[in-house]
Amino acid sequence: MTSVRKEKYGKINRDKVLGFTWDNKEYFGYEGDSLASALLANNIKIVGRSFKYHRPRGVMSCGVEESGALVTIGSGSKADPNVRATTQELYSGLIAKGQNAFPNVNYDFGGINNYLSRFFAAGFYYKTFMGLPPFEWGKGTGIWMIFEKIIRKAAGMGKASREPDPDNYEHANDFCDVLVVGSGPAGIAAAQEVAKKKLDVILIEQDSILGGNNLSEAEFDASLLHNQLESSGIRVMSRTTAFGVYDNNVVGALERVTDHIPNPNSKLPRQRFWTIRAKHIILASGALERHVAFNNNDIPGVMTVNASRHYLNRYGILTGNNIVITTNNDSVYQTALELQEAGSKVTILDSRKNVNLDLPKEIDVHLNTLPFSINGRKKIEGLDVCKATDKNNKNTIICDQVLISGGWSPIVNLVSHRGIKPIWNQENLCFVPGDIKENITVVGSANGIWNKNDCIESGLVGANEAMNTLGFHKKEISFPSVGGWLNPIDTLFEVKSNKFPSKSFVDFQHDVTAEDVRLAHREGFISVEHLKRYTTLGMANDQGKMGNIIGLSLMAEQLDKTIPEVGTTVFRPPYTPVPIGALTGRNVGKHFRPLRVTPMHQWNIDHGAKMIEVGLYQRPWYYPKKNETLSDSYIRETTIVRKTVGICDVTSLGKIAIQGPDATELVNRIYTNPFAKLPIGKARYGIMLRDDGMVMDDGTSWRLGENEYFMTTSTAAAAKVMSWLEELLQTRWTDLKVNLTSVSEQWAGAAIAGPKSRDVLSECVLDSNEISNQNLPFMGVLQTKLKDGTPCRVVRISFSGELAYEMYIESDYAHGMMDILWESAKKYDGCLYGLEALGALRVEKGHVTAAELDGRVTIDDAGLGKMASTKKSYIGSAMRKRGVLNADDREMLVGFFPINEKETFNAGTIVCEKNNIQGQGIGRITSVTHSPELGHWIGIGYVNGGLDSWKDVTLVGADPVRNKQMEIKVVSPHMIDPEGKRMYA
Amino acid sequence: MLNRNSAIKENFKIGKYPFEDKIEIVFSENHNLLIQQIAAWPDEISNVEKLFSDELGVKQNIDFNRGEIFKKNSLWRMEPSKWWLIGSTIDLPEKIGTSLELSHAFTSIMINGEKSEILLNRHLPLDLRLDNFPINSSASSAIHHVSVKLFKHNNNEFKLFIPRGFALSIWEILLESASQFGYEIKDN
Repeated sequence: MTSVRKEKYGKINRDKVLGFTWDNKEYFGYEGDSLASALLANNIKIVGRSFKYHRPRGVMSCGVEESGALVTIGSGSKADPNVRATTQELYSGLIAKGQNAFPNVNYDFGGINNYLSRFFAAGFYYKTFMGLPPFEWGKGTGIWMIFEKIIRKAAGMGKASREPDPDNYEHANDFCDVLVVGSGPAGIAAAQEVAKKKLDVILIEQDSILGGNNLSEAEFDASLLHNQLESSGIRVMSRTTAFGVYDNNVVGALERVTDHIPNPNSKLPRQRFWTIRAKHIILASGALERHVAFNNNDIPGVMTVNASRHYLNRYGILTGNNIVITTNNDSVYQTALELQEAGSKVTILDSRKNVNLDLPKEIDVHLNTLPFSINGRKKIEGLDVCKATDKNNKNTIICDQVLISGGWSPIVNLVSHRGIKPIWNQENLCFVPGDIKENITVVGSANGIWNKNDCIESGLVGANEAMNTLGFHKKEISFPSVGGWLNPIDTLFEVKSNKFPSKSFVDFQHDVTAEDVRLAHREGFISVEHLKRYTTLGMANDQGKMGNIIGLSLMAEQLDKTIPEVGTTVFRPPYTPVPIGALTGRNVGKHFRPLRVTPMHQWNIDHGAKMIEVGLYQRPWYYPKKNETLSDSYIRETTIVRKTVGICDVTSLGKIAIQGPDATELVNRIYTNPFAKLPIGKARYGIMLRDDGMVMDDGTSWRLGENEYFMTTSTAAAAKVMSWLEELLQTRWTDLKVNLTSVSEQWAGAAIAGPKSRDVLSECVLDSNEISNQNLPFMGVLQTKLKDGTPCRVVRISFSGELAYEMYIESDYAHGMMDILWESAKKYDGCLYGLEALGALRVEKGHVTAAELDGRVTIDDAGLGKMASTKKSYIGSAMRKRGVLNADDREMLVGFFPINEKETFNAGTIVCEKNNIQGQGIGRITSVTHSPELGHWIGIGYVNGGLDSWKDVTLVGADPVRNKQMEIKVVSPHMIDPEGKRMYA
Repeated sequence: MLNRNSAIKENFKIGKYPFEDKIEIVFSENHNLLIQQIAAWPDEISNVEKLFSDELGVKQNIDFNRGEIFKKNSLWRMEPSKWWLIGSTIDLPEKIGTSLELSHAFTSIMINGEKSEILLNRHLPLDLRLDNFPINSSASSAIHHVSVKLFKHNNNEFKLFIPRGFALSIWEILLESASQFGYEIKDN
């Protein structure tokens, strides 16, 4: 093949020369070129190596179906493998290279595979390396595990960069009345017709310029089309591929925003992932020209006929000097004339015996003639041809290019995504869309209509069908018939060779040959789904766009069935590959998930906090002094809280406003303990159960008024509790007049804990007398003001076991509240403490959190059975009485000490009897800490039968994950101040 | 009284951030947000509506997901029986419903400019075309899985309400997306 740029041809901008690099050498192209056209213009024949046999491959098409010219674009972190050179726009400075080859695609050591191909038939790896004597006798996969690595290295496509992707991507949404996919003759006609009626139309085109197959015509001028369409109100999205159609007329589309720009502005996303919701979709996605399987049908220089026409009339490239066109249909004759006029010698082989056309005199036309085998290794040197009726007598035609047309396949992929099975049209030898019961219309060649005027007509009819379904009008409509050629197409999928092994390719990307399909049949993989997986036919990144129909026809022949009887695989999204980056959009790095912070987040950081993620929240973990480790820090913080006072951000607790005349009734029904008589200005700790009697969450509820409560929940269960209460009100207790509102974000909270907490708090509020023990007893609630007059809420409550309070303030004032509290606490040598110290304090006290209330425990298991009222009904009250939940050997909350006090243990440790260390043991440790108060490590958790069953018994804490065992003993979970003297002080 | 502290203060840098010399989005924040949530009991909705008429001068009952903007405040029907009064408060008789202040629960960002609708659609799956989302419309949706509320005050003029704890994260994502249009952050 000798391809040359022709003057006066094409739609490229010859005034703008673009330099690019191919396999480390510099070349030039023009604005408007694709990488493939630029390579062809520079007469570069070999642009890739095949997947398995490493056979040289050239440009085989001019679109998304490309199976030969798969290249790597860019370098370093920007390396993008498996890019189709046919769809990659050329830009100045583009760096491209061949892939799957060493040292390069022209001279590839891997090409030796081609000579060993008889050993590499479909599925060879399933049987060749298993049970291989003398290593393994008949069975076993040991040898396979070694060879697998070699095979994987030898086969494959390009290599992705191991560096992080430097580009950014984004998601976007759009809406329209009618979405038209494809800007060929049918798509343009449809969009314009709908736009005339002032409907909101989006036209999507995967190419950089509009026109679809019109671009293959010399006289078609695309330059004004975009503006014309936009001025008629159509929203045009070029460089955008509709890759999937989903429920409710949702279309997924990928826009390549900067893939064609040399040095794009970093503020622009590289690609945009669109979700478009349309009231009606018109699919004008076109059709793809097929190849024919015959020996050596993959030699560089083989191309579809229509591709050659595109290269001539769009890019100004004559793809060969001496061209043989082989066909079974009418579509090639116009191309042949144009190629001949452009200067090529053209010969046509038509498999049909009779063709009723004005056959051009200037062109050699051989009827009833088939291509048999291409001669040449890296380029085409000639084509052996034979009569369809006599394959024994072959002639050789000297040529440098073979163009093939084995018929056309409508692109039914998108409509197939909706589960609509395509129907085989025997007359035109193609699948056409089946019956569509959604607001989707398929027009043009996507519907099997070949004639351009009929395509335009079908676009107009499709537009009217859309307007009918949208209720815009009611018009009688009638689509043009499928087909449109003067002479019927001939059945030609394969020209069988008597050579073995034959290199008659069906799926070029995955090196699947016609013989592979027959092998699959011989080995029993006759279902189309099995055929696909055994041979990998249609599983490359072109998803069988070129090879599927040929593969089906070969299997049909083997089974002596028709193609529709064999069936077709279901097309699934995406139509063309979608990069992972586009799927993730902006949800990467720090925005991988939304970050939730408390109103004093920055205050905490400014005061030295190390933060930790807890769910979505960022919470202060510990506040290290100079050179302090986490352990140093939390032990110091815990000690200070026990000695003087500490302040901790507790904003992350869930908060719910419960309002209405039935608020008390609601609270009383959901908590196990009575709330009906809770006075105004008091709070109560409560446990709520699930319907099945297991603990759901704990928290406090403060009675602020006759009809108003302020409920706090655990951080982890905030959303769950809110949803649960809403569900109860909306489905079971619709008679209750209660309003619920999450106020978690409205209020910021801080705990002030330690023997000096009352002194600290007294200095912070306007009236210090309010904080006295008498005015604010344990579980008392106060709505008061900070000393500067800012309203706040105070509750006397303790998670640490010390005298303690929680203060809540409206969130925007949180910084100020912390300043005031901290100024006061510093005077008492207080500290700020984080989540780690908070945990240490509560474990010492034996208070439970989500680690203990993990959905598997009852209120009795957690040692809180006394809080379960026997006098009222509440959620879970019936089911908690089930026998199994009251068995004597149920796990019960206990504390754990190491026997050797110098030893440490971890949460998750399994508690076992000394001589029976196995399985789930007899219990588990859920939380651990070093206890500054006790001077050694402690834990809480569960053990079967509770403390009474194991008091004074030495048990084993087994930690198989960390390969650790230690002796432990069971103690009361309330390890400090069990009488609560401190918190009642 | 303490001063209010914005949730997005750390990254609210007043100034112009053009893209190719263009600025097509203007952001600002309502620093003194005042939200009163008014929830009516189902059988008292007409009385709540009468109250709105008497107290605020609402001429016609407001439909769900619609609002009315007055000189100094605005009223939005967020749920069939819940309204947000923004910019002022009214007294609500306990008999007809409940009142709750949510002024600190949300961060309110105003988004103006020619590309404001496009920017919002980068994140929100809402049909914001004028026919479907006319002026005085509201909607609840989600940005990056965070529940948000959107009000349309005028053509290309929106107010976005983000739960306070997520506001900084969402604000940063909005700025990131807006950088392709060019934006300005203005003091309110």
